[in-house]
Amino acid sequence: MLTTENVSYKYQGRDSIKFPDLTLESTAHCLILGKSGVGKTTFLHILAGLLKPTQGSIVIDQNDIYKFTAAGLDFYRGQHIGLVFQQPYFIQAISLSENLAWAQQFSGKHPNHERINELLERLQIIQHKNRLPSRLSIGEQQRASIARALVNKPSIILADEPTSALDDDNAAEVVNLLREQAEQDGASLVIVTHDARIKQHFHHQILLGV
Amino acid sequence: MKLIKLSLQNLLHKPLQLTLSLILFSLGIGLVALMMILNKQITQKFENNLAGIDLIIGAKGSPLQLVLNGLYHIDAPTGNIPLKEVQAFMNPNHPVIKKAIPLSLGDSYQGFRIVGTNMDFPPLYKATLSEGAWWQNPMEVVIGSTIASTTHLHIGDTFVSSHGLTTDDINQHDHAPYIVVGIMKTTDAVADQLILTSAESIWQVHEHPMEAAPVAEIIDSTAAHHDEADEHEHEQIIPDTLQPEHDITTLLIQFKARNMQTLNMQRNINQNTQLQAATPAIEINRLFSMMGIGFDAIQMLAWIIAFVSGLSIFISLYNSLKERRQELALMRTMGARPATLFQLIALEGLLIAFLGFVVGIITAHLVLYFGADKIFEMYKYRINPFAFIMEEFLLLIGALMIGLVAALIPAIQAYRTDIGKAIK
Repeated sequence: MLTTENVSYKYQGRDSIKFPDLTLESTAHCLILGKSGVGKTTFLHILAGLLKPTQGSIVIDQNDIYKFTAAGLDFYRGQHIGLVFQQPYFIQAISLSENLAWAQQFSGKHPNHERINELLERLQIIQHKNRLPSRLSIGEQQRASIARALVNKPSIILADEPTSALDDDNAAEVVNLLREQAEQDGASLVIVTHDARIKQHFHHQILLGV
Repeated sequence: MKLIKLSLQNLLHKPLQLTLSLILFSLGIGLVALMMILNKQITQKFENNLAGIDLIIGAKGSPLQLVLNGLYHIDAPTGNIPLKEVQAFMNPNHPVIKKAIPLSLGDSYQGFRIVGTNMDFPPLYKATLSEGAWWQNPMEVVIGSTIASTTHLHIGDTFVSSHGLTTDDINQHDHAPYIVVGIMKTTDAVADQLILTSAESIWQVHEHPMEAAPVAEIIDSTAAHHDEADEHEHEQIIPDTLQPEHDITTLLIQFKARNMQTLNMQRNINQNTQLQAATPAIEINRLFSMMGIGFDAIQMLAWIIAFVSGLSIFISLYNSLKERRQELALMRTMGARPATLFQLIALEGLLIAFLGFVVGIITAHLVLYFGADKIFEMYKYRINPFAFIMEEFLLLIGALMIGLVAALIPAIQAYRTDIGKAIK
């Protein structure tokens, strides 16, 4: 369960951005919409524990994440929060399956190759498991990002503009994959986007910048 | 999975950058290693060849030359000295001298020096025979192990010597062939590169250039001469075959003990006689201190190269860090702690340093391997290219320290990675 309260953030030299309170039950899905520059990515980073808010609290499964130490927050994030970024980032020197294995290892778990293979199969990229990320297409890389976000069975998945670089077909496919996989793993899903193409897939929508 | 594996994979992902860093670093380390190994091996060779000799007496000239020629057989003789002038030192009842070993030098075979001496010489280098017997008669020789393997001389083979260290036909003593009667085991000292014979052989070669007497005749004449020599005073002082009118090149002396007399002996000889006396240990220390300046300078230069190449590690890591900012931030989002990122980058620096060390050490030993023959050709000293020395382990620690220091700033930057700024 995710709860935010009175969250605001102030960039130096700019007005403070105040974000709406959010309560998201386990397995619930939410779409955060807004035009460019309204603070969607900032809000997602705050939710993910990447950017400390100027004010307010973020509670995930009864843990106020900004009360952790920096290292403690990294560890908590690795275990409980799955992140999908607008651009698919990877450790470029190692294969796709090794990227997933390190995601497990960094969060304090032993690499579980069964879980990795199962995810790669579900996302239909098992044939690329031994390839370097740079050898995959953008669509395949985005699927791989989803696999990495799910590999530790997080309680919440946060996705930042996951469809902005994709065509209509791929955009719909990625959104469906995120929803399906989150449901299968019992995780909450928050997507921030300005992409109107994916509105129809979500009942729970929050519009920023109004 | 180990973090070191990820560090290695990161390095291998940029092969050109890695190769450049490795070439630079291994060059520095290789040079330092080469200097260390050469210094060590040359020092050891020189120390082994001191052979417990306390004083060396020869003709006036450079004391260092006297020692280099008389003990190390790597320089020209300072000249000859009349045997009668040193016969007093060869008295077996001398109060301070335990042993006085005469050497007659000046001839060679295929660049290997022929030493006319007596049977006190081989024990100086703990030389024993691998086959054959020690010389009994003039013109019989015992050869060192290196000579046996280089010239392929065997027991019973004969050869003629050359005057000096030349190998040309003009200076050969064709009239007086030597016969090989024994081959020494390896001593790891200068004896391996010497042809040992009696002093009489040298005199015979030089005194009867036109008609060398057969070995049997030499033995007879030696016996006859023994009878005539009975009346002479020196008969109990020097062996009967060594005649006072003959010359020798040097006299190696071992003292019974070190005392004021022995300390004054060198000064007395140098001040009051036509001879020159030198203390090998002092001359060699002088040589080392002179050589040491050169060695130290080259070694210092090599260390500077190693440090500068350490900068190449720094630049390589720093540049790769800029490219991998988002990758490091991603690791943080995956749960990696700041300290883990620090370790990752520090390990990359250590790995480059370790690999550079390995390549550098192999290169240094290969240079020695390919240079050993040249050194042998020039100095008749065999360098062991595959002997590893303790200093190489110390060099490993030095190399790792450079790698760690070079990685420190990039590692700290990795530690401070701001995820929010790096990932958009």
